[in-house]
Amino acid sequence: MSFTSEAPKADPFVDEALTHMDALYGVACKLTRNPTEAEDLVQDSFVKAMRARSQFHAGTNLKAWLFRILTNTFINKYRRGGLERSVLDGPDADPLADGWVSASTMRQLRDPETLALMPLVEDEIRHALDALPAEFRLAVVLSDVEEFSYEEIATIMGCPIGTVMSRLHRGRKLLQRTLYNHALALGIVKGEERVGPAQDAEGAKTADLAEYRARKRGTV
Amino acid sequence: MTMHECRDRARMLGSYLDGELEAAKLLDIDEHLGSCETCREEVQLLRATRGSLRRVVRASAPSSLRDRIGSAMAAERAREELRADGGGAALEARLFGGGPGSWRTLVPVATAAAIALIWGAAARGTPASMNESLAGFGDDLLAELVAEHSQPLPPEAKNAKEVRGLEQYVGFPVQPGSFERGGARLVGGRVVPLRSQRSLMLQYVVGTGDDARRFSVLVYDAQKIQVTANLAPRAVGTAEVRVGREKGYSVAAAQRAGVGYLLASDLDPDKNAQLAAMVYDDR
Repeated sequence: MSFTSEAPKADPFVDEALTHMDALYGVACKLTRNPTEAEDLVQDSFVKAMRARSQFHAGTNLKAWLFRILTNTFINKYRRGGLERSVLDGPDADPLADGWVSASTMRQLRDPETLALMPLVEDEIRHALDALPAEFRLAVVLSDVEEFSYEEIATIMGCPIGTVMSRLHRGRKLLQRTLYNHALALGIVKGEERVGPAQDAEGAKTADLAEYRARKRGTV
Repeated sequence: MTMHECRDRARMLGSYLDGELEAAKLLDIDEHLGSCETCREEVQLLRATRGSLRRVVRASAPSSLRDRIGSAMAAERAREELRADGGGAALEARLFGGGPGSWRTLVPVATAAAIALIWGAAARGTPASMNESLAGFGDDLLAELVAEHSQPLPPEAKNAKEVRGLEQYVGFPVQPGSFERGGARLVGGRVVPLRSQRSLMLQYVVGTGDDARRFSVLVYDAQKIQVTANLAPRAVGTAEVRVGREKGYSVAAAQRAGVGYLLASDLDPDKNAQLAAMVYDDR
């Protein structure tokens, strides 16, 4: 075996993997909510990827594969009970309605000049994201920030596509509700009558998290 | 536009924005958005939120991390090559053989350092000042583990529920079910004092009939007790365990979430390592 052909830098797998480091680090920061733990998580993930590289099929999506390893490492190392537990213990374990806010109120969350969220509301998004249960936070970040397809997210998170859609929908709704409440507290928007499911003439079911869990387990 | 029509479509607006709708639904939403200001506003809010999320989440990894990972991956690759080359014999030849390839003698050294670093990282969170009071889990304790395994005392707790109940005496979470997913049956467990720390000795049986084998697992607080015995790292899937032999028994160590697991059995080292790796498996 010639060592000249094995100079440390000449490894396409390593080189390509390293191009995804910033993305993995950004998501790791959001998962762990702690930059030091995020660094450890990313390093562990890269070492595991290196060790398992024979299981990676060249030509398939390396970035998605790395995120899958990152997700599994996070679950194994930081969450003994897995991601699902966070739904129960999460800060938002109260009943969650889809909520219905008028178009004019939603418009007030945005800056008319830039059509982006208002700076005061945007500040809040960092906290709102951190407050999301981990499985919702991960789904939202993988979709909105890393632009993975639903199929890729399902592979990364090890769940069916329907679950991905549900986590995304609920995660985004929770974010919106937090932003709305924040805007309300700041006086950016005026409070309005929220039409919740209880008063909904259509009789839509209350989508609370306990029921969501039960349904997921097939016990309802 | 009634609220009912919006409700039916509200769940799809995210998928619409994500480009994940099938053609028929895409057209339906397109048409609906043309006439419904509320849903149009919702899509714009989702889009604005997405833009903000990107600004909030995107980060650059510190350059120190980049360096660390570069070294760790290089060390990992070196370790693989070493194994492919025949491991110890090749290492010895390189260490003492000299010649133009002798620079590679540094590689195993760097590899060992990297492995120690990775293993150490798992135990991080322990303040440096506590290191002095850390109990070393050396070869003598490995002998104690094997003695406990070969001459087990009767268990105090005889099922998973009772074993979990021992949690209050040891001060760390106890999940006796981890190994049962690997086909093992819990026999029971008892609290054992180790280096003035309380640890837990669990007994299991794996296999049936004549193939049934006992194995013992010492569960300990890895923040307080560290394995200093000379165990070799071994990859099981994407997990890392450390393996060794003691008085003819296979020994394997794994560590997860601040809890250490040390297995002893007369199983072959591979099977023993696989069982130890079960602590990482949630699926």
